[in-house]
Amino acid sequence: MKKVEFLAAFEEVLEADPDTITESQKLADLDGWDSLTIMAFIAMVDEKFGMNIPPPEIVNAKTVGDLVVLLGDSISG
Amino acid sequence: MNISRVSLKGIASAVPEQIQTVGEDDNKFPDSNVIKIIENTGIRKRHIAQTGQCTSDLCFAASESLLAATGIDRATIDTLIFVSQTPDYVLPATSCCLHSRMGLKKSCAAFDVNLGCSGYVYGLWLASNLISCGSSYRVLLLAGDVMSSLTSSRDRSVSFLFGDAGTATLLERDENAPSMSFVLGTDGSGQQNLIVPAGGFRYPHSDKTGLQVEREGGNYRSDEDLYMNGPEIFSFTLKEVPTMVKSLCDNFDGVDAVVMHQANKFILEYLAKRLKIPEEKSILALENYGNTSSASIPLALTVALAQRLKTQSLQLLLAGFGVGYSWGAVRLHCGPLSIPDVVLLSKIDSANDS
Repeated sequence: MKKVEFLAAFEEVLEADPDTITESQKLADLDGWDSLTIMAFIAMVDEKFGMNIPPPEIVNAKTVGDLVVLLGDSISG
Repeated sequence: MNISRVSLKGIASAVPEQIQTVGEDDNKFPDSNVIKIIENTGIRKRHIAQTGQCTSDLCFAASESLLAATGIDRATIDTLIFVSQTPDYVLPATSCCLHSRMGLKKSCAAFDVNLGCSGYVYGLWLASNLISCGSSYRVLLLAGDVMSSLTSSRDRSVSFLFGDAGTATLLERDENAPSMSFVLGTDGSGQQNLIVPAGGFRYPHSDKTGLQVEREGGNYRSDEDLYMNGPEIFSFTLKEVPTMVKSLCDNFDGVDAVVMHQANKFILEYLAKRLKIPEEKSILALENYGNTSSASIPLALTVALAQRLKTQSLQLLLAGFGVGYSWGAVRLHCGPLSIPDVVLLSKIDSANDS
C-alpha cells in the first residue's frame, strides 16, 4: 500500500476529513485518538495488511509517522 | 472433539428490573462523546442489579422459570453447574447455596466454574461430557454474572458496557441426539488485560485496595474494580477467534445462526465481516442488555432466537472468548426448546426468595 492510501485509511478510522492528516502530526493532538479508535485502527490494519501489531506499540507511538514505521515494508513511498 | 447422546431441553434468562440508559442515567463523563460510544458498543441500556441482588438470585429465577416451562421434576436433576465470576461468597460454592434454595436431591452433584466470557461454552462442554459418559442423566447449567458490581462508574472503558443477567440451561441424555463439536483454548499470558486485581489471596483486600484513584485517560478505579485493556482484548480476539470458528466450519451454509459472546457491537461486526458470516446469521442482542459476561450467549439465545428455537431445530455455532484469556466454541443442533420469557427480577423478589 502506498503511504497516501494509508493516510486516507487512517483518516477514515479517525472519521477525519480527507487530506487533513500528515505523518508529522502528534497522535495526542488528534481528535478522537482514544481506545475505541485504537481498536478501529487494529481492525483496519488486520483487514488491509493482514497484520496484528502488538497494542503497546500502537499506544507508545507518538506521531502518525510512528504508526507508518510499525507497518514496515507494507507501506511504500 | 465430538460429544454425542446429549440434547438441550430449554433455556431461560433473568435480569434485574432496574435499568440504566447509556448517557442518561450513568453519564459521569460530560466530555465523552456518548453517541460515538453507543455506535461502537451498540449498547443503549443495561439491566443493573440493586445492592444485595446477586448472581444466584438471577440464576434461581431463571431456573424456576425453566423448570416450570419444561415441567421437569427437579428430583431428576443429577448435576448442578454454576458458571460465574461473581459468586455469593468466597466460600461456600454458590452452587451449594442454589442446590439448597432450589430443593434439589442430596445425590445431586453441585460445583462452581470460575470463567466469564467463555464460561457458557465450557459449561456446555462439562455438562455434555458428564451426560455422554453416563455420569449424569440430567444437568442444570447456570451461567450468570453481576459485573456492574465490579465496574467503576468513573471508568469509561467499562462503565457503559456491562449489564447483569442470570441464565439456566437444561441438558439431558438423548440417544438420538446429533453430536456436538467443541473446540476450547486458554492463554493465561493475557490474564492482566481483563482483571480485578485485588480482593483474592494474591492481593488481599485492604483499606488501600478499595480507593479509586486516577488512571490512564482520566479514568478512576480501585484495585477491586474491573480493569479492561480494550485494544489488547481485541487483538487477542483477532488472533484466536477466527481460527477457532473456522476449525468448526469452513462456511456458514449449514449453520442457521452464529451466537458469539456479546462483547460489543464493533467486535462482533468486525468478526462477522472477517469470517464472512452472512449478516442475517450473526446474532447481535446487546442493545438492551449490554455485555453480560458468562450469561451473554444464553441470554442472546433467549432474546434473539426464542421464536425460532421454540418451534424449530436449528444448527447453531456458539463462541465465547475473553477473560483468562479463555475461549471455546461449539457447533450443535438444538430445538425445539422450552424458552420462557425473560424474567424481570425486582429486588423484593430476590429478598423474599432467599
